[in-house]
Amino acid sequence: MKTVHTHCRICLATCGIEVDVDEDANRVHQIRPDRRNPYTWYDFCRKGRTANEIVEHPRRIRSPMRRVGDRYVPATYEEATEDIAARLNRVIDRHGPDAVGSYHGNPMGFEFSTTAFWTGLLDAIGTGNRFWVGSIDTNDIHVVAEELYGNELISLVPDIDRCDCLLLVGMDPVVSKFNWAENNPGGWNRVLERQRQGADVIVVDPRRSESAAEARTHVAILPGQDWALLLGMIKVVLEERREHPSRALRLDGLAEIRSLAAEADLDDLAARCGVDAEAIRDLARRFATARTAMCVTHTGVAHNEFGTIGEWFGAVLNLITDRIDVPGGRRFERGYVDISLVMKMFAPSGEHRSRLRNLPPVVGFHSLAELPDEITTPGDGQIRAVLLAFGNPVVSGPDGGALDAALSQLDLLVAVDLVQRESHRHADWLIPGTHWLERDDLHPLLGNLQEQPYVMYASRAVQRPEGVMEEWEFFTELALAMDRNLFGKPGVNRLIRASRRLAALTGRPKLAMNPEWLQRLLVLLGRRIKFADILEHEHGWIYDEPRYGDLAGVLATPNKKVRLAPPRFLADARRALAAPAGDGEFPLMLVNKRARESMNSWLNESPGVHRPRRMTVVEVHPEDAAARGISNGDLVRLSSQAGAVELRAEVSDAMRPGVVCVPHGWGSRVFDAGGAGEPVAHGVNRNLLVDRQRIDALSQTPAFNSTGVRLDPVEG
Amino acid sequence: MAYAITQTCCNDAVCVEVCPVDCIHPTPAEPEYATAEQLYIDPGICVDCNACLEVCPVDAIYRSQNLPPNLERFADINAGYFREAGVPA
Repeated sequence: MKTVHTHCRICLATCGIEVDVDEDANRVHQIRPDRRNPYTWYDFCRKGRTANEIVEHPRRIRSPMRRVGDRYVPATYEEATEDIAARLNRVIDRHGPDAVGSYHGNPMGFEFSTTAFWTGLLDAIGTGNRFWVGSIDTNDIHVVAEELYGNELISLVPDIDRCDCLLLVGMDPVVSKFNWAENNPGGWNRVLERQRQGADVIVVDPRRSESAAEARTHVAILPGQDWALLLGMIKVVLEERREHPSRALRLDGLAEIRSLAAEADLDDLAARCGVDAEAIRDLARRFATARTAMCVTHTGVAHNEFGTIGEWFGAVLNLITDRIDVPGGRRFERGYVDISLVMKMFAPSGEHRSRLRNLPPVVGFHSLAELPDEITTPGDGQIRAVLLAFGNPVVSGPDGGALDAALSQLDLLVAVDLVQRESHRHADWLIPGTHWLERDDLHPLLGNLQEQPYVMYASRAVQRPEGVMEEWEFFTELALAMDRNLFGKPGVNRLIRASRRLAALTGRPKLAMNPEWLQRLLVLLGRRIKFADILEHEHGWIYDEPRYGDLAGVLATPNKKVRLAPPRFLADARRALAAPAGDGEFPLMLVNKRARESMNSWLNESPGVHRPRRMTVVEVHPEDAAARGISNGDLVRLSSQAGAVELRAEVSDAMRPGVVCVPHGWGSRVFDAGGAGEPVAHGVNRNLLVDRQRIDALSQTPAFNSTGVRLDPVEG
Repeated sequence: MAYAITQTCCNDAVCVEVCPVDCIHPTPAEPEYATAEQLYIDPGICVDCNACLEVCPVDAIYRSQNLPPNLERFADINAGYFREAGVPA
């Protein structure tokens, strides 16, 4: 038995963990928090505890599998790469590189080696039709960061321990561990500690979550209307002259914000968000007069038709009250790599536009909401082949039925994953994925998302199954077999072959090109810490004190000022102000929630994580239930313009009347690719109710958190 | 910090199932379970994740800081169980 110190790679908490491994059997015996990690283990949960269940999943894909009729047969990597490369080349030669589409999901985001070489493969193909999870997750942050700061990857981390007023909008930090695009280890418990010391904690959520119940103030807002509350607060701050000049940054556009706020009527905003005007004034004063404060906005704000302006108004509120890059506000952590450089390497701001809706990419990727039509609509640039890696977009995206039907029409579908999931059911090839417990990795971009300057090398705990390639190796093989240069750069394939020959001759495998080359290069160019020192700290390393004021130095706006009022945001805000409210046919609003024991559509295949139940229910307020003759536990039908699902009701006064809640990520089948077993699924896919046409114009994200629905009892 | 179980505990052990760090004892697999008056949280192991509180069917679990005055002694009672068992708390 040996103990490996590494970190979990399921969510951004990236908890330090101790993994006991039976080396002879190559099996994980137990996973525990690593209490010697100086920074992150406090959020350890059952997701990490049971992570090895999928390593040993009975339906795990252990070799490439080729589709033959309705079943799959094992094949070698040589057969797989030869066939896939030939078919991709045929599609590209006939229809151009955009005829190859791609999608990758959230799990890949935690793995630098996979992400970097996936980008390399897509660059080899030359396609602009790249899709990813951002358009159902964090796109609004990237769009706001690009407009305000000139860099899509800037994320501002809450400085909890010095904060006197925390305005937390659309998040449930008890469950989410306070993290989304930033990592605050033990964040919620530290918020409660601040509250006990007198800090003002305000949670804004249509549902009285565990976090809302513990906060000093819970504001039960109407779904999708966070922008109206935040604009109302900005209006009060500005009209009562409660703004403070920023110490850390120079701001442009305050006059435009002032005019926009003046145009808006506080009573109208109050009616839209369902929060009294007097309550909005009170919140604004509490926020503006606190010694230190921060507004934090998460997915509850983002996943709506006007999600991006909600995120923007949160940023504006922080900026006009001097809450950015100062103690007790939201800080920019520069990390240990040069993020502008990384952006140029991995997310070049392309000129590509989507064929049908003419939308630009966000961080280099188009919106998942567009993928079905891009596959099914004939014409130049129609997608005919799709590469899927660690993604389950039929379940995690909107209107999965449309995507499922589209995927069935492709000339080629290749899926890389640990098991065959819902989105892979039409796959021509299944390629085995590896688990993070089986991979070494260092993800340099995670350094910018930390509350403190922190780094940890992620060590492998167990060996991957015999014969299985790491993903980056497979992507490299595919580029070589296609005879298209990895990363799209001339000479790369020649370099790969030469380095492999050298490695073979010298017997030193690391001389063959591998992801560590890039990791070492990025660390070196970042000029802050040394790669060898990272490796030395097996429990993780806080390499510096947090520093305030670094944001000003990385602003990439033309005049090095924060662009407070981008014209397209102003235009969208005016569109929101003019939008009618309400929907007669679908009178209830469907919202989402985080579940501690799942991670989007990932992990539902692991039995041990789900206690005490492994199913989805719809939470409904007693008044809404009574009006429809629905009792606790009844089977009900939830329908929207896009679809309908049936599930059990849970009557709960935690809901605001008029709002119902179902968590996403469920209802995905796991197929038995290598055998004859029946598919297994748990819960219900509520995203089938979400319209793929109605998206936030700026972030291109669907309204997962404000979809009009109706609720009816199911007879019998 | 840590959480504490109080006297209304019904020993149904659903909290044991959801705990990510196995800090709630006795578990149904342990012999003491049959005679235990209630279950206890080891404050030296608990990671304050709130999972047990959310699933408790009888609202017997509190954050130690939130224990009402009449139940405050349960922070010590929980810790004491593990001292007596010889496990360092």
